[in-house]
Amino acid sequence: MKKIIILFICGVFSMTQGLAQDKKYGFFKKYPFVNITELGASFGRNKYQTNAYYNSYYPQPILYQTQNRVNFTLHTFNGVYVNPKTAIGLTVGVDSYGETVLMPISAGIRRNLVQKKQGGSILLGSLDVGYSTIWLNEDNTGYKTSGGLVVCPTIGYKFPMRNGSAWMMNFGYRFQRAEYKQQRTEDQFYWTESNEVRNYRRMVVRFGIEF
Amino acid sequence: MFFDSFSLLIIMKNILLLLGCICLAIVNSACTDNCETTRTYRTTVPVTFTLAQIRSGIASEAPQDLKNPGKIYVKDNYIFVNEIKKGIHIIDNTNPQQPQNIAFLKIPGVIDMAVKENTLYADNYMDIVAFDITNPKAIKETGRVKDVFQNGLTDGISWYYNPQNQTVTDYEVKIITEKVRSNCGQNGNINPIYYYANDMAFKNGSVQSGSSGANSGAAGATGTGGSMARFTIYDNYLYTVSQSDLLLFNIKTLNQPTQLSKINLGWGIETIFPYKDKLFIGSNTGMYIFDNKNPEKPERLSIFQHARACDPVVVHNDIAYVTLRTGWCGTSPNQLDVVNVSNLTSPSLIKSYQMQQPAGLGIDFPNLFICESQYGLKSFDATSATNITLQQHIEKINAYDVIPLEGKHLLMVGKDGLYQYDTSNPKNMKQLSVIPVKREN
Repeated sequence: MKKIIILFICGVFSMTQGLAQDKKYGFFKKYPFVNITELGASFGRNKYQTNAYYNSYYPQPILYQTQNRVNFTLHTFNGVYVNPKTAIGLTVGVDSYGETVLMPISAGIRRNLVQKKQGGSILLGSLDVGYSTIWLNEDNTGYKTSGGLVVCPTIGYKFPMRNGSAWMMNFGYRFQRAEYKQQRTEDQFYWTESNEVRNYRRMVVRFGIEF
Repeated sequence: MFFDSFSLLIIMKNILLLLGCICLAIVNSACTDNCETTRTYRTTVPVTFTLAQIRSGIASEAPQDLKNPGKIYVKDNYIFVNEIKKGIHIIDNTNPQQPQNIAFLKIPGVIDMAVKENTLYADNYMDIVAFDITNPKAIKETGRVKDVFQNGLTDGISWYYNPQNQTVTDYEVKIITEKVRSNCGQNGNINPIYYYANDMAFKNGSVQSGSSGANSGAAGATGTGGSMARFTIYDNYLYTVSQSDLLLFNIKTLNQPTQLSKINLGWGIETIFPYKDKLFIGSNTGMYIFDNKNPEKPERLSIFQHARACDPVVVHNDIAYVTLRTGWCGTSPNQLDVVNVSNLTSPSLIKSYQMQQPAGLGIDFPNLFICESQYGLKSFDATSATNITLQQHIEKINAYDVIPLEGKHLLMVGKDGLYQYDTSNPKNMKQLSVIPVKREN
């Protein structure tokens, strides 16, 4: 099922891109099509308890351990310019968080904030708000991952090229929610079940190209 | 033009300020993943008692609801239901259609019981205590044999006696819910739970259950226990089995039991079932047969070995019915073994029957009743040992332990309550009454 959906989305994109190249097509003449594909990393930190259990029976001071995290991220925005400065569209991404791979689908907006002179570099703002799916994720036996809200505002620079395309680099923040649920274990005597609510809060740095 | 670039400068400054703020916020805690695991687990927590607490913890109290019933024992019109490690419920069953819960005898650590005439014998962790039950509402302790048992195992939880500290350490089952700040599943998974934090609560052994019109030394004098009982009375002797030993007590003076001897049997002993002048002792690897002609000195005749399993046994007319079940005791297939014990020195298997999750069983020949745990209660026609046929299957109840009684009537205990059935027609048993269990968790 999830493969079919992914294929469908890819199909729709390739079709819209194909159509975009057809200058006679009225809609895309009025609202030019834009694709922005960016690759980057998310930076964050994790602080967790190391002596986690039995606290309710053997109270003890909580010990924390901190680790830094760097994870991979890939985003592609497909949309149209509704005016010369603003593009709206759909963003599909792939975000890895260790074992977990989430695929957020968001509504996105890109806006050129400041351009000092015609043809020069542009200060670009963007915002994506959506929901992350788990289509690319594989769960361990007995566990189930589910996605959640994703919000990603960024600010960055766009360096236009003569051919109409542009290079860009963006800095921003990403909040992503997911849940990781452990089904009750089979042991009738010492069973366990758990639910982990994950709020990933990361700084993102992305490099990409617009055409 | 000047104005334009000036306003542009202000915009730029504002944007840079904003950017700076975002960066600061990012550098700060805002970029720390926040993952919280809510984890619920069932575990055991140690509890320590002093001997004084255990010995003075006995009290005759007002009736209480059944919460976690264990073994059952029947004497005349009374049913004794063990509330595991808490005490004994005394139920007046003069009218099986309306049994009355009349009293509760609080005994710390009680698992087993046996009754002769007006004396009840029960375990009190390491001790054996005799009670005068002439008036069930005001039961009095009359005798005690101290420091008989060193350890015990019920419901998968063991306790042990520490003679040096004069304490007993037991374990309580707890369902714990904790919230923990976790590592978001990166760098290994969520921290494991160490169930045995500092426990010795072994996860094996017996489960409560029992069955069948077990013993009757001198008819009318003693009561009826289940096939899972660890206590039984024969003649003037009380037999008890611990994890590894057979212990004999002289109860000629009913209220003053004295210890006679101790016979080592090996590990994993679960039950004792007297049949004629023989003792059938169930361990989780086999069934021992002891000759009991001289009740002071039982002699081992043979052993019938089977796969490691929980194995209640009942015997009728030289045929032993053994149920084997996957569980804490082992992983054998779920089945009923019918064993020929006419030659006690070499018991032989007649036939095995497929079962679902058999626990206690009982025989009121030719009817065989088998508790199938969550699958309910089954009634079989056992006229022919080679062709045991199903007569009725009562589903949607949890059945652990069954005792067929005189007058075509049976007692069945499960997780939901104590049931009584009229078995005059074994193909269509009728429920007479039920005392429900009020479980806390």
